[in-house]
Amino acid sequence: MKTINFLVAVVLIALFMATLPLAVAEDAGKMLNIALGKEPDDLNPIAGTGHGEFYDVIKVYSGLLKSDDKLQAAPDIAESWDISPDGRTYTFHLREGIKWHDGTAFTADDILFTYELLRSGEWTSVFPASSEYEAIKDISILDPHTVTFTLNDPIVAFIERFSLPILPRHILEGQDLLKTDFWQEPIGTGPYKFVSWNKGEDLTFQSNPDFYGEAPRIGTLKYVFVPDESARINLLKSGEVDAIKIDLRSTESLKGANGVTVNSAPSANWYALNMPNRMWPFNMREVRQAISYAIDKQQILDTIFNGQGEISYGPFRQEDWIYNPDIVAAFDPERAKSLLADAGFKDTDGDGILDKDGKSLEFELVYPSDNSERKDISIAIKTDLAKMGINMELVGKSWDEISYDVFRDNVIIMAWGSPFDPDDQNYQNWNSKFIGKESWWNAASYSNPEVDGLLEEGRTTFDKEKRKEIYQKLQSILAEDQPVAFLIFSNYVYGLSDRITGIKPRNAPHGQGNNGGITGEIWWNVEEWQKE
Amino acid sequence: MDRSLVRYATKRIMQIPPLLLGISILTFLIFYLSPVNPTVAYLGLVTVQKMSPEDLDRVEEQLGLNQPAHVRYIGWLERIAHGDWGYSHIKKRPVLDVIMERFPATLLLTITGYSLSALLGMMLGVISSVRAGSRIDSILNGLNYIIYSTPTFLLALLAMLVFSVWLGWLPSSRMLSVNAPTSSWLLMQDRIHHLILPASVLAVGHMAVFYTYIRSSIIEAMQEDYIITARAKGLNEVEVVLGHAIRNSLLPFITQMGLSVPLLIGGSVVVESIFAWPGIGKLTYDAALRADYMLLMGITLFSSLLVILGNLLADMACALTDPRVRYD
Repeated sequence: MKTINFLVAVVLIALFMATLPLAVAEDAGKMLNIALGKEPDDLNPIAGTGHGEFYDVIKVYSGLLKSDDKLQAAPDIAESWDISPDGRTYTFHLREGIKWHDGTAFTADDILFTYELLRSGEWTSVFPASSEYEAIKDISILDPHTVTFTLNDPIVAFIERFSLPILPRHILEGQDLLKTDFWQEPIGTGPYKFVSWNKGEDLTFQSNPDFYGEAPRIGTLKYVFVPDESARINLLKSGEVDAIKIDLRSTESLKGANGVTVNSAPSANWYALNMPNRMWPFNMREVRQAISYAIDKQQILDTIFNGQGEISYGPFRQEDWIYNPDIVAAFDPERAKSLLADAGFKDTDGDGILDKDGKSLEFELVYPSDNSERKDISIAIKTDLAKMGINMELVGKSWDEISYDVFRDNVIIMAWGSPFDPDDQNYQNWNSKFIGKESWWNAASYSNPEVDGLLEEGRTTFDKEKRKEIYQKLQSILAEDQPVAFLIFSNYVYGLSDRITGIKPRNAPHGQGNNGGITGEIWWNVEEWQKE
Repeated sequence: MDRSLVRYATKRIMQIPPLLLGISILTFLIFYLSPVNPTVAYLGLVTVQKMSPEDLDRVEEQLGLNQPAHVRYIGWLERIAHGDWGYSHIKKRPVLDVIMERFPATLLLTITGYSLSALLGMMLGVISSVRAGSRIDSILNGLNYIIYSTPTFLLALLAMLVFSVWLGWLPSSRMLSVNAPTSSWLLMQDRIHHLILPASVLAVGHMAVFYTYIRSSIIEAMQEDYIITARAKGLNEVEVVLGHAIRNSLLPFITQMGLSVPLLIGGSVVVESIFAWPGIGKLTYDAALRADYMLLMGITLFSSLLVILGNLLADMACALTDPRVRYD
């Protein structure tokens, strides 16, 4: 019986202690807590791919260049830079007196070391963007503060690749980069120093007193990991955290909360219906156009995305500098019907489904069953198409079953989107040379020689006005051809403490998810934030 | 020491290695046959979608993912024999480090949950058996059946809804507050505050097992001659149960606790995932979702060892008290 008495006593004491108020020491202005739904695997800043991915890196690091809120290149480790008239040679003039967080002096050798790590391809499993850096022909250190890069081909968008975070040679040289502890407790040159990482709990940074740029206003930056959205919302409402990301359908749950503002930030993330262009009936342009006219995009935006976003008519948003306003096409079911009639479709057997040459206008759509948004879009489209006499059956598959060839050979709800250089993703997605490759690019198998030509021209034209013309032309052709039926751009939604100033929402890439990660979110410029 | 006991112990211990080997083959096969693409799991779908086939091949080669299954399995077995549990792809660290880092959190949760569970089960069991057949007995019985048939995740979500969302008494996730206090006394309070909800859910979820067990064994004991003797001495019913009947049910009860270890490990996967408790259960869930087979195999092996040890201890306790067991 003694044991039981003891256990009862322990439980009672524990319950008693739990009710005591918790004294929390906080120097409010100097601490900022961000609740992330997704804990990073490690703090390797080069774990992603894509053009401008390094425009927002973990704050421990910095690169030759960074980007501003318009996603344009801005000085960082390099004070200034020149591009040769032929677009092949980039010369960077480095700041002086930069130190690594461990006190070691930063040198141009560190730059050479980092770019060579990628260029060699030896560590593709650690740096998946490696092969992009094979475009560099030569790197030379002219003097301790001048570095030049020579490219094989002049590619306008390559400037974005110079935001690659620089890694310390004196620590990483000769290490097994796949297994090094460095990614758990990194040392960099950025505005924040790594302090601690309690796995599954939180990640803490301290402002770097030796930072070469403007010192961050917030002294302690802490990311806490809270996978459950309602738990994140509670933490924000109670003031324990200052910033969270939420599902765009959850904006209501933050309405009226004291001291909280909701920020619906734009993203380049577009959704579209992929229609494999070489398969019947999508090999007929009228059918693709008809499907596009038949879908009520506004309704999809309002009901599935809670109105958070904008309708998409092509791969660029209204505020993009190359956006072509002429491509807007209204929801027009009548036009869709006449286009289908033009293509020769009639309901000859009276079963309510159009047919042509004895073939009914019906097909399957594969949707990722673990993604509720894409599932809901699929249902909405099915309903819209049924009104046209098109029968679309829905087939759910998990992402594990959807490999690139399933993605490519099926009608499917696709999502892409890059806020970076217009060449990014568009070069790959509308270019006929990617058809049939073992990759996810150009899933529609879209082929138009004129588009191929424009894409090549666009990536090597340095004149901004000419470039704008090229990409506006591209948008017109895509709008006419409808290789995929563009649907909407979705926003990303955040809950932020109204004590924070310095927030600059900027167009974010596709693939960020709804729970918030360490990079690619509204806190991309957290080193400039202030908290009153 | 009794030679028969030693012989029994040796026999039981010798059974462990083949058992572990079998478990490891089974685990490996399950993960090998799953449809998850390990490269996608490793780099993330968004990254992989933007990579060229050449780069993907290079990654597979560098990670050793293109080797045939048996080569991978034997390599893993060899390394385990040398104390190297392999390398976790999602945590980017050695498997054993990752497990050991998470183990204390799980231990804290399961031991607390377990003790509470045993305590509650025993108390309710005693009440029921003393009043066997009464209204309170049938209420407790019904209640336990209902709770036992409720899936743990539902129980967890309900508890979260009531105690953290509606009443706001207890935190709904994590092991510490965001602004965790620095002094160790306050830190302990904070930890206990976070522990109450998940531990109680574990406890209540498993309580029925102990309840049913203690209730039936006391009711059975009540028919024995020594109970009749106790009653004849003039003891009242409470004294009879607490002083005599329960004593004879306690030892097998403890054995039962040893045998329930797997149940608790299973339950903690669900509870930890829901309450964002950074333990082995949450780790298992993450590893399974992202096909980190090295980590999953490490966790499986580790939990198997725990379960086997739990059973071994239970068996030994039995053998120690009841010599008949040794000659089975």
